[in-house]
Amino acid sequence: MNCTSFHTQLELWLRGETTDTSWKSHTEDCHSCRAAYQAIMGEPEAHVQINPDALTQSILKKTSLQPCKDIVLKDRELLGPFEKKVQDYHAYQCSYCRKVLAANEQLKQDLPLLAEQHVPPSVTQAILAFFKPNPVHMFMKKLWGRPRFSLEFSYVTALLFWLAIHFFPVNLVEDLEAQPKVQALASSVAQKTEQQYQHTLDSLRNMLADQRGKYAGLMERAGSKSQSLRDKTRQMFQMKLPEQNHPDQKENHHDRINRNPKSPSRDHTPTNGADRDAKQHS
Amino acid sequence: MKPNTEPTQDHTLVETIKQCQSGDPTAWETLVRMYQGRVYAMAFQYLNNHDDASEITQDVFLKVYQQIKQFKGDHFLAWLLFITRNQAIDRLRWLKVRSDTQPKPESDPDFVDPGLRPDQHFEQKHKQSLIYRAMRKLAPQKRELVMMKEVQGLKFKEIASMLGLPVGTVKSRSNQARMELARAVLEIEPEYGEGGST
Repeated sequence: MNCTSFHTQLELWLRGETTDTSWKSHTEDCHSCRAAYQAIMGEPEAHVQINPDALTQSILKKTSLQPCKDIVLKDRELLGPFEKKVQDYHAYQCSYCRKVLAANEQLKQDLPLLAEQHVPPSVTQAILAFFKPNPVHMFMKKLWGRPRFSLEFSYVTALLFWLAIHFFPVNLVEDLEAQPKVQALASSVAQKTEQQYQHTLDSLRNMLADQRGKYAGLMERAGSKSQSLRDKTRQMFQMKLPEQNHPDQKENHHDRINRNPKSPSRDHTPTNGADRDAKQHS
Repeated sequence: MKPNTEPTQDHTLVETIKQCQSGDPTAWETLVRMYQGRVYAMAFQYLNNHDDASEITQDVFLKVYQQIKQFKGDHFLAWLLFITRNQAIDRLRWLKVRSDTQPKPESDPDFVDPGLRPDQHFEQKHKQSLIYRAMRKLAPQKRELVMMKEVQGLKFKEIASMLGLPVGTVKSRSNQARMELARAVLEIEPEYGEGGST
């Protein structure tokens, strides 16, 4: 195998179009091809000895692309795996392309630094002056900014609600579909309740009348009995009137008892018998 | 630290836009302060002049103010930059037609730096100046693509709809434009990009 066929086989292998690796034996004989193979496979310590131009030219010729322009100077995100390897390899060989690629990577970081510039304050003020605030929005903002606004708002809302209810009473039951049924049910319940009430009232009245009759009988009996007792008592008192309970007379009575020890005890005074009778009657 | 990542159409931006539509002056101020630097930078890239860029910025926000009630889309930044581009192109045409007027001298841009240390600030200023000078060497169409994609961070789809081109075309042209910019930068400063920074 000569070097040209080795480069062709290497390209096919890099592209994934062949799995044959018999071309690798050539690297044992050819020092430059071994170095190129090691360089492509990512062994940078072997890069020093290679003769890269032949491989680069052959690969780029196969892919109909020009070095330093089409494949090499492209962003890596736009390249396939084979093209990336070629770019790496070429960048290793070509110092200018290496610099351009490094500058490209650096630019990706540095370009956003140009995104903003200082704006003169007069321009900012002029732009802010365009804005004419919405009067309703400003009024509401000012209103909500007041510390007692929530309290005032609740007062006003409650007042409005009360006025609305007062002047425009709402009949919530009026439009219900079940209203006739509800009314019929309510009237029947009311009728039943009224009947029960009347029945209870009548029974209470009857009970009251009975009680009144009984009470009148009792009163009548008690009156006649008390009358008879009164008559009896009066008769008894008419027969023998008790002595006057005057303190002087009481003393005289005691004196009389003391003077006459044979007289009966106080429990057996002549009036005691009449009192006992009256007590018994009462 | 990327300033070009749009404050994505997140909840905050949507709320701000809604408040602007309902006439809230605070939301309008927030929106203006959020995007005026980008609009100004975009206008400056077209016109290379602070006076014209200021006028364009005012015109753009006037138009946004007039049309924000009709805005219902998801891509506010793309819409804003689309208006900026149209306004800038109109201004360029007007300047071209009015050939009797003296062309205004080009001025240096004044880019925003996000609060860095003095040494970082110096380095960043140097980078900004270098890239800006390199961009001046690009053709206007390529500069426009770099500005939209790489600087302002618009998506390929948004740029394609803005320019009326297929997405694939925008991708390849954007890539070419950036590579050309890299070459232009290397012409000015051959050491750019080596070791991660200049």
